[in-house]
Amino acid sequence: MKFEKHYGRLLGVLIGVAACFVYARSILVPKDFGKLGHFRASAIDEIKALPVQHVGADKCKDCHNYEYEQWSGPKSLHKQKVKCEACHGPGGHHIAKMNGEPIEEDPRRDLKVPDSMVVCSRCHLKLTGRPEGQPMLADLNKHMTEPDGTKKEKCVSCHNPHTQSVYP
Amino acid sequence: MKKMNRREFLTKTVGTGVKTFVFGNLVCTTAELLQDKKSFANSASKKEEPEKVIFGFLVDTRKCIGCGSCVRADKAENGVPEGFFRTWVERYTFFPNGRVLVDSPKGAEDGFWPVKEDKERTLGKPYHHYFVPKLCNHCIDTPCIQVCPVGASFETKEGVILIDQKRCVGCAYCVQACPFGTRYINPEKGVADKCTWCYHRTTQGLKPACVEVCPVKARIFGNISDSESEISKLLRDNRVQVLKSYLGTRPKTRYIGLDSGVI
Amino acid sequence: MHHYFVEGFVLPNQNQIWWTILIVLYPYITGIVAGAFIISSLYHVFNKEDLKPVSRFSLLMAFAFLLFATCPLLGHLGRPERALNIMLTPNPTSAMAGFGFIYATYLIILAIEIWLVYRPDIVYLSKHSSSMLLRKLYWLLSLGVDNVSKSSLESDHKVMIFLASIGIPAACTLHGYVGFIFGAIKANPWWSSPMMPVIFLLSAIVSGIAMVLVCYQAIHYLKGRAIDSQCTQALMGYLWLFAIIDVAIELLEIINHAYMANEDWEVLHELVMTKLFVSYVVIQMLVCSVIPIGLLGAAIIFRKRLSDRIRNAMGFLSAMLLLIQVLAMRWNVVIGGQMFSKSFRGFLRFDVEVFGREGLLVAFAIFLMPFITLGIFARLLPLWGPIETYPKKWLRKGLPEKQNLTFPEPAHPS
Repeated sequence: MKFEKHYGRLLGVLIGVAACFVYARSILVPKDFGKLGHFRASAIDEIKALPVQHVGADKCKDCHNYEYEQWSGPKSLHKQKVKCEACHGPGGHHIAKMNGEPIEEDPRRDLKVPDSMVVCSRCHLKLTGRPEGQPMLADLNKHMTEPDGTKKEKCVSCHNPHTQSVYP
Repeated sequence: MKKMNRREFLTKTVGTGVKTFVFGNLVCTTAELLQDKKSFANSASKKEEPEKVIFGFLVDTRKCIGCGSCVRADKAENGVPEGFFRTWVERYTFFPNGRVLVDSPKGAEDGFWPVKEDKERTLGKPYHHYFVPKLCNHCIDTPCIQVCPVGASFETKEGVILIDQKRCVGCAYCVQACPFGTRYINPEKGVADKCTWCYHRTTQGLKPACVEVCPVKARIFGNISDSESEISKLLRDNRVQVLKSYLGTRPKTRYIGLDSGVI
Repeated sequence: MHHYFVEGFVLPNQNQIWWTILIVLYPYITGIVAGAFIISSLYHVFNKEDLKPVSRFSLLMAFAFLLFATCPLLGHLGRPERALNIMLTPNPTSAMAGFGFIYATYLIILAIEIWLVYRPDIVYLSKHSSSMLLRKLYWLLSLGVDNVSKSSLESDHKVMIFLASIGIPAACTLHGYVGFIFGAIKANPWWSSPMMPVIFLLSAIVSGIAMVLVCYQAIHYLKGRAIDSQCTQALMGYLWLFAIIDVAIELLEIINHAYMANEDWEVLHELVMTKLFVSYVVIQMLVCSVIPIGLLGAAIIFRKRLSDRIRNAMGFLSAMLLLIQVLAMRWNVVIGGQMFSKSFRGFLRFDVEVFGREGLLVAFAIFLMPFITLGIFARLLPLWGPIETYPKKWLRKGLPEKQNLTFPEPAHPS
């Protein structure tokens, strides 16, 4: 079989295509790809640099010392268990706003003063599934009705949300 | 003849005795030397290597009260889009005759509500029930990294599985390959997304957001290569399982308190 | 304790079916490519003379479909602009990463094969085409070489045979890897099976042969040309053989699942008997498998008693039904596999999208494109026979009638 002229030209075309691909690869593949494994190494630092939203109760203490003292005091039933951000939402944006830093608005990350009827029920309503050790209410209506028949409106009408003890 | 025999006998016995003694000593000394070498090597490597950090996660389903704080905190911390979840809580309710009711209303984002009364009428009174929080298992033999065509899914040196969202093409192969349903395609970004064990927090010494807010310590996070850490002690002291162990993905998220109804 | 689900529970993140109509279409298109190439290789490599009438067309049809094989994938990606990443940084453990290279390699093999088959025609048309633009195009395609001597054509023929023989494993890989993409996913029990690449490949060949048969009969009938019944008989024979093996292995898979009755069988059984009853049991397994296999068998066994016209009609109908069967098989695998949750306790509903980026209209448009492309090819090259069959109206006027248009046909190695 003779090596015809058109085979040579065909091979030339194929080698040209392959060369273009190799060149394209050298400019398009990120330089740090493959250093630590089959991935782009700088992705790790990018993910590490994401902003922290939940700042922890100690950061709240700086401005909200009164509530903090109540929450961490000896009479508190929620002490060290239910942290500030569990009920109020993450503090990251709030602190940034207070410091005057520009942040992207995101309703998921706004602080709230929650409706106690909703928030307290999430943990304290008697539900199928909850282990026995958890303090729970089976009948919310009964609990909210005084002996003389008056109805209390919210949990916080009687309970201090930060200590969970009943107001004197 | 008798003298010769006695001499022979003595020579043979003493000879064998000496040989045994020497040989025995050789064996024991070699064994000791090898042992010393091993421990020497260990201690040497301990001195040379910095403290290794491998993260692990433990979920104690005996404690979970299904309040959903973890789901809400995770959504806020990581900007998880509506309708998708990086972590969620399921409730398993066991009725007589082997029937199981599993529910997870909106992933437990707003907590749970009582099991409907009509269910109790048809199914009977549940004899057994508990919550199972779920999240990415950060498996050791991950099926998701195995199938990613572009190298967007990868594992860090701490054993955390992450996604390079600038590289991902959104083919959803990893979503199909995950046996636990922890991955999804973020509709805002068009790329794959999942729980990262809050890598941006844990590399700074903080705990993941879900662990931080859990009021009953049902979620525990820590360094499993440190044998004195809280999580290592719990792993040693309890009967620990993983989800779908028969698939061989070897999850690093372990559970206490699962039984056969949980898939 | 045997737990059977009371309420459908679907894992929260599984709120939609991710791989929809376009991912059903992609293996369908590549399947037709593989099958058509096998037909053409049966002639070029294995010298099945009966298939000569369709040998050229099947190559061009394979090429037309292959050109549009990437379209469904691009339409499906969350970030199509990054699609090149698959070729720039392919992950060696990922079957999907193979797509870029397998596709490119096969495209090159097929292109060179077609080029070698049509080179004499291209050279001729570079001199005698009526349009100057096209003459330039043909000249470019001939790579500026107009040597069509007997020895060069014989060399071409040898290279063609070589390419066709490596093209067969390449075509098998092009379609087998798609089956592997599904078959190797242990997370999904409906997909996870070592038989999956085999089933995909066999049904691909079935769809390719069926498509060639349908197009051959349809185009010749519409243009009023005679149909070579020996060719259609041969095609029907191969179609019957591959259809039987394909359906047998598909049945084997489901029977194996049912017999083993693993943990997942409870939900799979419910899936097949309720959600997929129409598309799997009725369409894929009964109507579109039993009827075509029966019809083809009858047409072949009773060929002496039946006339050509009736046999061809039976073959045409069977081929149409088998085309639907293969499409249904891909639908049932891809979409069926996502209709149950990984919790094994619940189902999702698939709402067929009509408009939108991944809808029916887009799928239909993509599927139509290869046929339009074939129409363009028909303008450029003789689709079926040798250069004599190329319409004279597109050639330069004033050609002497006696001009010898035929080129020396290199003898087939016997």
